[in-house]
Amino acid sequence: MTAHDGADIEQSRLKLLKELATGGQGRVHVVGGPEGLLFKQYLEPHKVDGAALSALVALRQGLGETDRQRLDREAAWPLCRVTDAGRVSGFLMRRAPATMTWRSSKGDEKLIELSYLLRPPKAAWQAVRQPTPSERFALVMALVDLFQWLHAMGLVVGDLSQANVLWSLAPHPAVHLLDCDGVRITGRPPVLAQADTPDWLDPKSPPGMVSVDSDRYKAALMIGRVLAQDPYVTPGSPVALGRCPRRAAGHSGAAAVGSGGREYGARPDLGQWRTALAGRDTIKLLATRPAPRPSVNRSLFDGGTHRERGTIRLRDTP
Amino acid sequence: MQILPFYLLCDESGSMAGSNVDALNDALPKLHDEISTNPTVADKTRFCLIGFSTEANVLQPLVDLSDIDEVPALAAGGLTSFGNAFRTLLRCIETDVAALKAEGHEVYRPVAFFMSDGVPTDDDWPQAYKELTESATARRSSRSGWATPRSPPSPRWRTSVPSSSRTRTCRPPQPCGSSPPA
Repeated sequence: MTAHDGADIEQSRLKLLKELATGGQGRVHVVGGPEGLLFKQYLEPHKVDGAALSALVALRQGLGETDRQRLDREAAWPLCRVTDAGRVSGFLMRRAPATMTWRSSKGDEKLIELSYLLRPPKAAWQAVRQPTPSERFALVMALVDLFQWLHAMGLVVGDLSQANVLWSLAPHPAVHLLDCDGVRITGRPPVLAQADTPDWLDPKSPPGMVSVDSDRYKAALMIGRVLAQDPYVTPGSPVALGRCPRRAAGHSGAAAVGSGGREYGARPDLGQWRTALAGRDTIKLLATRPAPRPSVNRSLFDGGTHRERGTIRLRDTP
Repeated sequence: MQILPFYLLCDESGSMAGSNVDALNDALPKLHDEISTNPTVADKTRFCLIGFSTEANVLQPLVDLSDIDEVPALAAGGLTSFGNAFRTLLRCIETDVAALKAEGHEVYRPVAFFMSDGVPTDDDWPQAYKELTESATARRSSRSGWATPRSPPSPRWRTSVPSSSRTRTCRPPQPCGSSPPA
């Protein structure tokens, strides 16, 4: 297994134990081995940009140990590419943490997706423990931290939605990003054509385009929807933050939810979200204002409009 | 909010007695589990169960599956009136779509799955079928799935919204020859 060094691995070397799920882009299999890794096998490998996938693998390999551990903890990041007869057929990734799964009454194991945070609980998924207001706030801050960190690394997440983020409360509130092959390095093409999720589209983004700014819009949706427990909140709609801790329901937090819908290119970044959600007042820094002009005693420099002028002879007189 | 009305028409005529109707009754909790435990899918779908034999009965009116804990079981007996099934389906679609729109929802074209083991015993069903498929509301129906239990019957379910909601055992019933027009 070469998941540790990031080198490509031949698909024929993988022992596929069980198919976990099928999505629009691929199938996810459990792979035999001590680490219990997953193999995402693309349904249309001829459409895969192998170089883009390689860049994601290389990015992880280039991280320091602490950052790499964080990435593995908070994202199902591509560990290495899988090839089949010389063509990229998928990649290996880690399983989501066990704390981010639950069992339905039928005994099926299901992932604890963000969708369970976006609405009042229902009996059908009562096994998913709902967070207290302060835990909910901590989950939002964990989301902000994660997206801010990914943006700081020069990445565009692309498809932020209720299905691509998992969460758990034990041992502490934490989040985990799925479908990380949808992430792209800023300015570079994606691994596959950009996937989007209904109800999570940026109405002001140019069609088919994602950017750090569209990420910021979708992050605003995510923050507002988690805090309001309403899956359809948009920046233009009223947000009821009654279930949130006082600090998040403060003026700055509510205003920030609304500001997520600013013009394309002008959405608040995740750092601004962090400040707004902290509920602190802000202090205008003097250095950001222009220095006041000193008063000028013009009489020292200006002799007035009536001056006695001499003449300058330009030619010698004979 | 966009809603996908989803109708399941199950044959509960006498010929379905035994393993056929048992298979359907076993599958209903699985269908409920798949949809109701996915809040996003449950939000977007509304489910209606129609059982038909000599008559057709709305066993479960259109509902959010995550709001219910039980559903009436199918019980075999009687003849196989496709006509009553189609007429009941049409009445439900027309009423439900209007009600959903009145609540402010945007309604996806309804999906109907028709599960039967055999041949209709009524003669006028083609007319009912024609009225169903040619009605203004049903013409907007994007898909209808036709499923007949195999031997042994094994209805299986796939759930997602909205494009891939169809049973894997779909095939057109002999009298129709092909899926109805979109």
